[in-house]
Amino acid sequence: MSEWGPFLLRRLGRLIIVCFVLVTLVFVTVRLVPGDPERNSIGGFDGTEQQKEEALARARSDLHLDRALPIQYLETLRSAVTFDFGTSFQTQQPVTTVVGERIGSTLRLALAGTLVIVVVALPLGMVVGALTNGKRRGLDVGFSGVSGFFGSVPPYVMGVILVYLFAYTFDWFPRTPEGGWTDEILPALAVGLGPALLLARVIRVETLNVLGQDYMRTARSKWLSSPRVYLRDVLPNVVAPAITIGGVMFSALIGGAVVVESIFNRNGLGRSLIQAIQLGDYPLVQAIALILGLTVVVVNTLVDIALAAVDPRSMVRS
Amino acid sequence: MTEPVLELSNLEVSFGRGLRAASVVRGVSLRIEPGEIVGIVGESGSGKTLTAMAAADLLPVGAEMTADRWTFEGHDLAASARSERGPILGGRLAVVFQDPMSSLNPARTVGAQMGDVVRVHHGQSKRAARTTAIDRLRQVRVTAPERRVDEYPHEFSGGMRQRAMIAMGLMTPPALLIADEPTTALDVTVQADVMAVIAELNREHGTAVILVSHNIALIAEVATRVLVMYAGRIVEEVAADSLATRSRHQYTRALIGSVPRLDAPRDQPLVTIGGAPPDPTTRAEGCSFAPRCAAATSECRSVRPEFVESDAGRVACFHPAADA
Amino acid sequence: MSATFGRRKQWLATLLGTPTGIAGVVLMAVLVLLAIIGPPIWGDAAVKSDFLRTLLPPSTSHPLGTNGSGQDNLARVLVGTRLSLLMAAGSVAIAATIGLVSGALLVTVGGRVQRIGATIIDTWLGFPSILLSVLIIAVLEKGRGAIVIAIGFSIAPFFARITLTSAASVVGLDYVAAGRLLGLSRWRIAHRYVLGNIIDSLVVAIFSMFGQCLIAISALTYLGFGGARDGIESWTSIDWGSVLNDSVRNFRDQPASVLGPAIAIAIAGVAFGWFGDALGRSLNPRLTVRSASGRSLRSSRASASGGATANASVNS
Repeated sequence: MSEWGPFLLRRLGRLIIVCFVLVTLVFVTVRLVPGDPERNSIGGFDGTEQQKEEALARARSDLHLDRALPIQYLETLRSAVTFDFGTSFQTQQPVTTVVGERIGSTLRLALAGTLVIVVVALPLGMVVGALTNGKRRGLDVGFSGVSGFFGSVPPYVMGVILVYLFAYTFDWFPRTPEGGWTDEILPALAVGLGPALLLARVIRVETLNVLGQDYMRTARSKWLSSPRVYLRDVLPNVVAPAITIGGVMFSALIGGAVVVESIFNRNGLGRSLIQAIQLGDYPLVQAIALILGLTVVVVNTLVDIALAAVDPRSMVRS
Repeated sequence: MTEPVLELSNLEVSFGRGLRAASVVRGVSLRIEPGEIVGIVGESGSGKTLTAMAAADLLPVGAEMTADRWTFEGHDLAASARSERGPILGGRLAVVFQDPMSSLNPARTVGAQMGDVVRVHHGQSKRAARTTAIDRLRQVRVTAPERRVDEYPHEFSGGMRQRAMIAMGLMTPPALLIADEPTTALDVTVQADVMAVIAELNREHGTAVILVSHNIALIAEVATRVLVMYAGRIVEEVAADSLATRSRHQYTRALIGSVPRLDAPRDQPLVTIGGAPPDPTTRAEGCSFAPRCAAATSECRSVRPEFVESDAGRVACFHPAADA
Repeated sequence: MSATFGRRKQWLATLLGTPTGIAGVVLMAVLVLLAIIGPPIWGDAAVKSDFLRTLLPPSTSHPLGTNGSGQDNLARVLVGTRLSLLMAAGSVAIAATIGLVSGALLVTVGGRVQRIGATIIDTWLGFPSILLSVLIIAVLEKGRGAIVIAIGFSIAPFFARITLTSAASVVGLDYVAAGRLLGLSRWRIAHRYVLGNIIDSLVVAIFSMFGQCLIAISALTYLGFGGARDGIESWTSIDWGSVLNDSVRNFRDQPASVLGPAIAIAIAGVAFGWFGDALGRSLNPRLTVRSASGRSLRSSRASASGGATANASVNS
């Protein structure tokens, strides 16, 4: 399978370029803020005059503000690669520590959300597709309507409504994090249900598409059991478009997580990013923006690779 | 007398309902004995493919079939529910479709697709199925079968794909193989190979074959018995070795006559059959071939001919042709 | 395309032909109406603080209760319609302009630059819009204007992509080739032939992106961006996101108050999407293909995959 080599090379190349662009973007953004970055950075800092001076000096050196601009850029690149982001101004702790504390929560949310999406969308889409193949027009319309409606509900609204329904009205789930895996359920649903329904729509259309193909007639001619046919003949062909959308879904998940963390009072990167921006803690902003951005880009690349593994034809197409 | 492998009486296949209903196959009856190779020949729209698909229970969505009798290896298919047909047909009836490019699942390896039938209907393990698949691929003369078995359809050439499809049909081997235009999409040299494989299958395993094609020359080479279809009906049934000389229906003769001969002078125009097949939504009176027939009379145009026994088979024509 | 505009009745019939189409049109009309009459009618109830009546539960005089300053929650939601819609409109306008211009430019330049541009746009598109917007807001002055610009910028690639794909498919057509043979300049070709033909996709996109912008903007105002509350409140400082922010903060005491803004945001987002789809169907009936089983392929496929992609990448 000689197509893998050039393909992987191309993807890797694209990944590196995008990372570059990302670092540059973050770099430019932080420096475009009006006023002195280091002064802005310690805006909310409370302490003695001397502590302030120390903090200012640290800020200046962390953001490499005492050097020429090109050197600053190179230094930013270097710190991105070595994961040395300096000191956060709110807490006066190294940024890496702060990030380390919070990345777990965000990762858990993203993974749980992905799980919700896959577990809900694939079976739902395929089943509805199989059921509405040429018949049951009512189900067709009903599904379109419901999935279209709930799929458009943004994660934070979904989160608010879920909290209202389940944490308040039914009191099944805690309102604030209590520690333990039950905390993950409502946020995961908030972030994942909408995209899951949208993906289910796509999967349904693809299932119908696949069912109309000639190779399904061949499968029928072999008189295999329905579950087997759906699992081995339909699913692989449906998964490919699903993975394509999956990449987009993941970046939506990350975006959704940012807001949902605030609703559920989770101590994650998203909420920290918002706070950091509001308080002007630029080293932290730089670090979190980079990490989240990199995660999205890396996941997209992995999705491309997964897509190639499932449908080898896509390697040649791109 | 042994049981026929397949028996179909008075088959009708129609699409649509009410005013828009079109019967594309009417009054077709056939009986396939074990070990026979039966060819069904006709132009596009004659209903030959639908007949074969109906026999295999593979009609497309929207098509409806009725038949007085429909059995496979003695089992009554007409009386059985869809779910009951799996054990009857699975592994015993194989189909090779016309377009090998779209008939293979692009997301699965060829070997995996081939293995389905023996794994489900004969309980073979994955490894055993793979071995069987390699063996069949070798039989259809696919080179390097051990490598090919793990490749994807898009890595095969057109001819190889069709041979793989036939190999897939051979897996069990079946009692009946229905091949719908198996060589139409292939070039002539590969055609010969593919037909050789089908013939070998028939010889070695006693597999009966229904071979559907518009190519009467091809059918004449391989089949033992030929059914000629026109406008949804069988118009003639004749033994293959009598086809050229003692076929009787005017349409059959016209078909044979239209086959280009390599030894004919090059400036001689190709023989065609003028006109076109009738619209399936209309039910004309009389013989459906009459509008295009050189020997048609007013009787032909008003009364539909019934089957009459001839020395080579049977024919539905008021003016059967003489020996050629 | 312009021929179908002439057949007014058919256009209207298609627009209102489906349940979602009717719902979309009706809801859109209601929203616009509220935006216009909201502040004059309920403006006072929304801003009048009454510290004796804070955090009241739902009742007949206050269907959604009151907030921490004694203001009526329902009134605030109704009044907030105007600002939310206006901000969304601003973002869409910015997004469409940036997107259209960059897309058209890339198409006319063509070749390698176009391919590179397309890759940039795809990456930009695949980026979570909240991250982008938040970074942009960090740079600009805090305030609602910053939010509008930030969201506009992060949604622009969607329009660029539409322009690219529609225009690219049109550019190959015969009459464009004829135009080039006639010696028309690249700009003229873009302007006259290309833009005119992608108008339909653009119109649909504008409406569905309107909904997405509204959702994204509300997310940001919910998070607290968008500006200082100066002492005097009027409709210019009330939008659904900030009302939601209020309500969530008071969730413990007054949980029902979250329903108002949450439902408003959800419905508005959906309504614009439905309206956009219906409008698209009515503008270009040729694009609606009925498959053998009577399913409308364009609406199910286009809104499923296109909408899914759009909604998912923007929707945070």
